[in-house]
Amino acid sequence: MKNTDLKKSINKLIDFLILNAKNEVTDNDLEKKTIKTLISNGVLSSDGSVSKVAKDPNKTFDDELAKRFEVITGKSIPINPLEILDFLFDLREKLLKNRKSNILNEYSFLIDQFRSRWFISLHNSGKVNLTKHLLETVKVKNGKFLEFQNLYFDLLPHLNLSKEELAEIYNEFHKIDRLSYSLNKFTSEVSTVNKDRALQLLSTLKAIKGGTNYLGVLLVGLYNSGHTEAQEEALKLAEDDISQSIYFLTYKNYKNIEEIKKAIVVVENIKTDNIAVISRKIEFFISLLSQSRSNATIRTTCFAELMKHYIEGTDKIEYQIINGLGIRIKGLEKERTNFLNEISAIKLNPNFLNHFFHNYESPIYLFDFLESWLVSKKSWQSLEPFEADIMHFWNSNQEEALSLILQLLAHEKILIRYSAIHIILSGIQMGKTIDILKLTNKTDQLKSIEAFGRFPHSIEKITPIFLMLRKSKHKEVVKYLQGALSVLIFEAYHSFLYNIIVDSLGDGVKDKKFLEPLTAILKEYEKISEIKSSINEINPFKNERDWLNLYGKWAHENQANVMKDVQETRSGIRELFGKPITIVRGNGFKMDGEETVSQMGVTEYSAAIDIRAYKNPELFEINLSSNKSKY
Amino acid sequence: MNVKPIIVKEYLDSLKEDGQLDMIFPLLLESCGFEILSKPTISKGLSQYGKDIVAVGKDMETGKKKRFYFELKGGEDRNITNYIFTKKDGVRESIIESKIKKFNTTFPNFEKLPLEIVLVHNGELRENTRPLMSDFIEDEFPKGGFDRWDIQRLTKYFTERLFGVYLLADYQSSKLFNKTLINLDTTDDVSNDFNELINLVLKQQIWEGRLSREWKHAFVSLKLISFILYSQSKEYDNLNIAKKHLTHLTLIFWSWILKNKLEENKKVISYFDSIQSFLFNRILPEYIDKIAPALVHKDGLFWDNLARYEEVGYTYRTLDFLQYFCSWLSYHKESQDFDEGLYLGIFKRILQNHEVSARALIDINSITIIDIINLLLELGDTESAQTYMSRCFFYIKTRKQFHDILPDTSNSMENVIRAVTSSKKSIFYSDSTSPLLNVLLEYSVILDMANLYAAMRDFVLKYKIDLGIFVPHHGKNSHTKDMIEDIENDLEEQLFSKPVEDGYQSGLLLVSRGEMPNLNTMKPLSFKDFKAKLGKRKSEFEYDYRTIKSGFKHLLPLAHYYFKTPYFPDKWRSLIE
Repeated sequence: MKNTDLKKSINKLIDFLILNAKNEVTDNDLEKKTIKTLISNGVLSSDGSVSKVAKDPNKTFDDELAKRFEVITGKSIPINPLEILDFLFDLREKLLKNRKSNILNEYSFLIDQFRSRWFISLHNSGKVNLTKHLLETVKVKNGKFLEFQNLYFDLLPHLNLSKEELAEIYNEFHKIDRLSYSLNKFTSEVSTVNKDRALQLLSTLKAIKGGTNYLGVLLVGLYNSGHTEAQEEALKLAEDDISQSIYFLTYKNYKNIEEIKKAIVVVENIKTDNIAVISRKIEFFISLLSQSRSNATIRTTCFAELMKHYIEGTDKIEYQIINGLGIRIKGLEKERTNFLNEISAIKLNPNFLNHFFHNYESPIYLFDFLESWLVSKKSWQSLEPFEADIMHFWNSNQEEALSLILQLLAHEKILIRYSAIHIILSGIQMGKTIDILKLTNKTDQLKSIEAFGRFPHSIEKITPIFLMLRKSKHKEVVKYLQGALSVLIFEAYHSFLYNIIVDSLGDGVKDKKFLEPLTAILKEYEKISEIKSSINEINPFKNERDWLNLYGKWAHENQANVMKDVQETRSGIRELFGKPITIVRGNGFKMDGEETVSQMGVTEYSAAIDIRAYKNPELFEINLSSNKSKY
Repeated sequence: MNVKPIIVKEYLDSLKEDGQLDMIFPLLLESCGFEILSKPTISKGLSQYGKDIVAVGKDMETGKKKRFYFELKGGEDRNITNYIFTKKDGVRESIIESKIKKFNTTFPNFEKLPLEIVLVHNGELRENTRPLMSDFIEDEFPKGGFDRWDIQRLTKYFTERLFGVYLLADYQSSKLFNKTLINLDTTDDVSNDFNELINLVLKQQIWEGRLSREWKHAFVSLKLISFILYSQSKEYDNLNIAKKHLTHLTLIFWSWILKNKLEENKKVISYFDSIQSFLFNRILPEYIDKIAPALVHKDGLFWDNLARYEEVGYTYRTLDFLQYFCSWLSYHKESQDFDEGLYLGIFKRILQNHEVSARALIDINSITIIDIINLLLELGDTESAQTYMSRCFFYIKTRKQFHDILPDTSNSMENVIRAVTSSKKSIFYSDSTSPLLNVLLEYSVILDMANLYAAMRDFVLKYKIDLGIFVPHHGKNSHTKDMIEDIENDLEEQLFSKPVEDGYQSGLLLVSRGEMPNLNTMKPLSFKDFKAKLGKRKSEFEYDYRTIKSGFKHLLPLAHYYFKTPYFPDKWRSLIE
């Protein structure tokens, strides 16, 4: 066949692919003859009635495609890799524009595959050294470079590289943080893509300094892709770097339970004080827990080993174990909770528990743990570490979660009831609500009101929820609620709370009756307040101006310091947030070089404060941390 | 321009209450050489038929000696209108009654002296009332014997005879007096101008052993200042102003008396007594009465809508009030009509309504705490004193546990406010040592509270708190008198004029020292051993106070409080059996 015929067929195919943005053709799309030609020349690969562009098509296809791309863009394809990426970006834009499409990846099948083949071709033909180019441009921090970096590692298994070049890649790249991850990923995946390249890499890594750090990853890849000799290599590594051997045992695919048992014996017998090795051992046992081939005996062994390391371990080890058990494992909910209960009796930093229950299906374990943990504490505890998990269940298993929250709200210990209110508040922030009348028992309702009456903040959010108890069928509950609200109005929140109550009540006779004593108590407060405010001798604005001024000055300074801390904390990740700009005056700002003025949003934060906290802070805190309860 | 009359007229015009004119007017008469036979403060409430002041003296215009009946009309009656003139107990009725009723006195030849009835009012006679008044005077006093001193006349007399001679005698004192008055309502503390003014009055001449005319002028000036400050405080509707300034004036005046060894000079003491008595019998009772409607409520002294400032402000205010209340009650307790049960009830209710009364913010709050405990003991309520003690310790302990903070021993409210606003102590905040805890530990012996002692001791040992109290070098049994730095002033002269620094810190260890120096073997001191230890310290400081001997014992707490000098150990160790 003449080359011109092939080129014609290819161009017909290209016409079709570009016009229709499809990555496959059928007999209805092109003449049968054309399709046949393209298949026989390795441009298309056939799958029954549908044909797709071959994975590694005839080079003429790429040449013709390149010419077409140059016509579309009106430019020649450059030789510099980053400029090629720019070229392809423009090409994509033009193609989408011609097609009047907003789907960004509509031509990815065509452009991305062409791009890979084009780069490999450039490198392997010696026109461009991609490795050298990567090293030269590594300091550039723009999007195109990151794109090139990712592309480079995808292509790496296919690039012609000498042993020396491969060694240089590891020697140079592992020093650069942003490349080391990609390098590791490449090492892990190279075996499945190009086994020869993987074997070449194995001998290279053994020979270079620091290469052993990647051997575990490489050997796992080789072993899992069928190169069984890798196991022997991995176990030999123990002499130089035991952690690489453990890594291998952690991530290799086990064929049967006996293999697992043998691996456990190997890892158990590694005695070390080296934190990095201990960390690898923990990783190994956590990994076995998620192994489908593990059985109950193996899991018991794993939990026992983890417990041993937890007890002896540092904060870092504790975190690794808790985080690993929470994030990396699905199932084993009962076993994991038992483990958590055991360690919480010994030592537990609750902040490590963030997302621990996220993979659980049933909320019962979370709430059971929460209850026993709170009971073990003598003072009120923040539930911040559990908030995400609670919300997870509130979303995924609402009915059961709400029932468990209500159980906490009626708990015999008032400190736990505060925690339940805290949970309800978190729910309110997420737009959730709870029907407190589902607590039907009289004592339970009274208990919940008692906690509400002492809860120190966010009264504006929780009052409407507890006000529902005015509809309780128990008269004693309604009376107790009125009493609690009266105390809060008189001593803590005054008209602020009263107005919230008024807004939450209806116009019915019962609600009006309910409001009567609250109105009376507000009037009583206002009467006393008026008397007090008429006595200049106790008016701080008349007698304590110096202290008030100092307070104002230092409160302002403290607020500024808090803001400064926030800004400084950000500095490490400033690239993500950008540098904070202070707007000295005005309500908008315009960046240099920009035309538009951005309006400043108003950020307000306000929360009603329980005044009792200021009247007598120590007494307030003592009362709040006390479990003394009437019910 | 002579501004004196303007200042004086403004001042007289500001006397809006009846009693204010009553107070200042006798001073004018005294300075004019009148002999006062009856004062309004004595006669008010008794039926004197218009004779507010009876005095003998020379007519201001003619110089002729006469007997005078002064009828004072101030407050709402100061401007004479038809209504004021004719109403019941009005001007007309008062003058007639004054004329009719006799005044009994042993003053020689009193009845033989010509009578002059003078209507004194710090306002004006309204034009439409003038004919009515003239007709009345012509009818009642056809031969004369009546005069009327209105605001103009009073301004003239007060300027020439009183202010001009004393307070506004020279440029310097006029300036200081004016500045004091102008700034009365703008500063929290007593101003430097006021301090300078008092010093100017007391120190511009040297005491030469006799009560000269100049010294009489000086002492009358101090009285005048007291009255003016009081009336200005009323004007501002804030008796705190008078309370603070009169405290300062009283203490400085007393320190001057001590300095000049005049505590036994009856004439000088009578001038001083009128001032201190004015503070304790007039200002403080009025101040307490004014606040009383708030005190009956729980947290009555808490000021709403000030949010977090009140963490400090409310406690500060409460303790300041209680300090003065205790001082006043201690003073009043000595009077014959004192109802112990009634006042104990009131006192306990105030303490109950203000839980923060046991919450020390700065170490010098120990003064108020000691006064409260002592007063409860003096009123016979040991149980309440014990309860209060326990509460004091509760707050110290809780603040340490929750916020790692003890009362500031540098006694700086600035430090406390800073700690509240930033939730951390500044480098100036000093609380590694606690004199207050030392005092409370010693009180646990006085009140026989072994359990509380054990709790406090364990707390002190747990947090490694240093204990120590201030002991002056001046004690009777002192071995450190050679360490006194201010040799110009004895202890009391220092106490009444500045913070006392001449002393040493007497440390206290709550462990047995028998096995020193091996600290690990030291044992916590038992209550019994602590009692024994304290018994040996009872005489560490003893002192014969001239102030007590002179009958002014009630001034000592104010001196300690005002100048932030902690109580000396004899204050409570004298109670150890």
